[in-house]
Amino acid sequence: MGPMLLEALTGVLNPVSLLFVVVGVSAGIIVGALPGLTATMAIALLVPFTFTMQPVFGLVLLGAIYSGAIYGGSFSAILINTPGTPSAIATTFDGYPMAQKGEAYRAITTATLASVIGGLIGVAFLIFLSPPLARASLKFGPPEYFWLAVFGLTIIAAVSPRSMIKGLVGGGIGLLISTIGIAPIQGAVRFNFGTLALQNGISLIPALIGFFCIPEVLRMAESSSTSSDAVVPYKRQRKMVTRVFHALIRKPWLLLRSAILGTIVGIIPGAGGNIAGLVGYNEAMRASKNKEKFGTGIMDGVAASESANNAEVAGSLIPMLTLGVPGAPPAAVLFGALLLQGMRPGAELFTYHGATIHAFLFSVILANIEILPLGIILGRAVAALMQRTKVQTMAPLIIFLSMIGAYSIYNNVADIYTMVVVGLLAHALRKAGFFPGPIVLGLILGPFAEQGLLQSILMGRAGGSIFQVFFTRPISLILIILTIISVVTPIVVHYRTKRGKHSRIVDSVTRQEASE
Amino acid sequence: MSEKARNLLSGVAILAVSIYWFIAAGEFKELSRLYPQVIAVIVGLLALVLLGVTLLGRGPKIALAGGDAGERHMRSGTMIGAMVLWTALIPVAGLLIASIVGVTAMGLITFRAHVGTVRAIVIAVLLVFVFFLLFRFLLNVPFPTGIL
Repeated sequence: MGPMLLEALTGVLNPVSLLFVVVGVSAGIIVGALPGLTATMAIALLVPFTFTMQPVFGLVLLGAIYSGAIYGGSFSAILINTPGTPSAIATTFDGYPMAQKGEAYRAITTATLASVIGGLIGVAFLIFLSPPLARASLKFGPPEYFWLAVFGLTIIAAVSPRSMIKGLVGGGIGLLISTIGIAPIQGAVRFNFGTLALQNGISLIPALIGFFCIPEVLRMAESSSTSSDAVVPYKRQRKMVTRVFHALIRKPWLLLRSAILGTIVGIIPGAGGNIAGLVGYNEAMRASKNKEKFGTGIMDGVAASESANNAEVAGSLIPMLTLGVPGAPPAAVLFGALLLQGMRPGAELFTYHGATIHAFLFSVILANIEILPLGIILGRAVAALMQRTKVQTMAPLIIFLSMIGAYSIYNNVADIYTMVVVGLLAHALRKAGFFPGPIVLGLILGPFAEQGLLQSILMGRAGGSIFQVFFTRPISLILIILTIISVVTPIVVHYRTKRGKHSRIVDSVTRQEASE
Repeated sequence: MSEKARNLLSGVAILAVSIYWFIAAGEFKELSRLYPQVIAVIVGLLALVLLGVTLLGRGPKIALAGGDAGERHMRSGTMIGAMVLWTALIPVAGLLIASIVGVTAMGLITFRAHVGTVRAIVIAVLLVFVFFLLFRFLLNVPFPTGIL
């Protein structure tokens, strides 16, 4: 363990790694601040280019972009009342009213400090929970992996506030797509429609680029204008960081509670930073003595939302690294990056690639710390950039980079076609109300589910009872119970809650998607 | 198109795909067809539920963006056309030429209103050259050259 941690520290304290952390966080802040460009899109576009890098450098860069982009979303949430990334929806509730009162810099500083603290709390959970969870995954056999995949997919229902049924159908579509290619047992070539390109299945990275970049670009083209002419003036004030820091440390529970909630939401597959921010905000409001002040421009609202959504970054990496189940769309793309580097999530990852993975975990700490100086230094430049940039103008460049990215992994033109076809399919599905997150989760979990199902059947046949294999093993039973809870709970909540706090979350998510 | 019509259309399309998947999987051996058929049945049932709740008037609400729908569809339709043309040109003209055509076409859709036609073309061509040279010579990505 000692030599491995030392190797990990050497890997992350290397000048190249440190440079990638700074570059990644800075790029992430800019991407996050521009409405229309998302963290998932930035990571998906960059994954192919990290393929040729040393694994540690590639992961450090992607992790830094992820952290930076989630924080960057707070800039546009505060300065133009439009969340730069969906994670910053709840930040608009108090951030923009603060900016309107002439407290834009105070709001940004609050968001910065809360993001750093929340992010670090999330990383602490990531570092302490990942190794034992990865060890626990050694106890997983084919039936457990099958039930884990089923649980991962059904949880989509619980976190699809707009439509449980559409979330489930989306997951199902992803599962259907995952059956394209050679069957894991008996080796039949399935659903390749006579083309060699589909014989080995849908290439994951081109598909991820297609799912997360093409629909976004087409959405940008559709929007008549996303320019930010109405940016609230942003002026730096002396000693603001110290003042906000003192104000925040007087409310440790606010940040801790939000960060813990953000981490938990991050761990749940399919629930992204938007849910984390909203849950953090909602709980801060419930616990506050000044509930009526929430929404009028108070720093507690900004701190709760930002602490939760940055903690969610690390939370979403926990199930991805230990069990291969991504907690959020950007983590799904990072999952693809790991596979591309020949690293399979789970216990094997911590055993065979321990130094690389620990270096990555340490780099997420550094990225969160870097948010503080970079957020303060880049603040004015980012605000100016938001004012001048019309994101539609970036659409052709994003398509061009998507094509190069899809092609350059295996130097195969067929991957460009895959990316375009998947992207157009994702666009059509989005128009019909099926969002990419659940579909991608189905695509990733599909092979786990199939392999688990078939191997369990073979085990059952060999042992004399298929029922015993599926329904009597302790971990399987826990996962089955969790699966039932995840399906039943949203139905019960739907019928019990007519209107209330939950509906505020639903309305916020719906409003955000309508504005997209 | 109304919300209800979209839900009905998507429900029917997904039901049709799941039926196709189920029938096509029937050609394979037992363990190769079991999983796709199970998933096809589940997706088909979910599509039926979607159709059912939509017909009963309890269908999920789709968040529709505001603005002129015709104009929005025209812009995204033109972008899709440009993207398809771009992709189709790659094996014929190579990535460089195809990308110049593709980025210019898209630039005319997205930049022109902000910078004018001539500048939009110049920006598009420069953009492609810069990134092409970067990836071709700095990152050694051997791009397809086409048959021309």
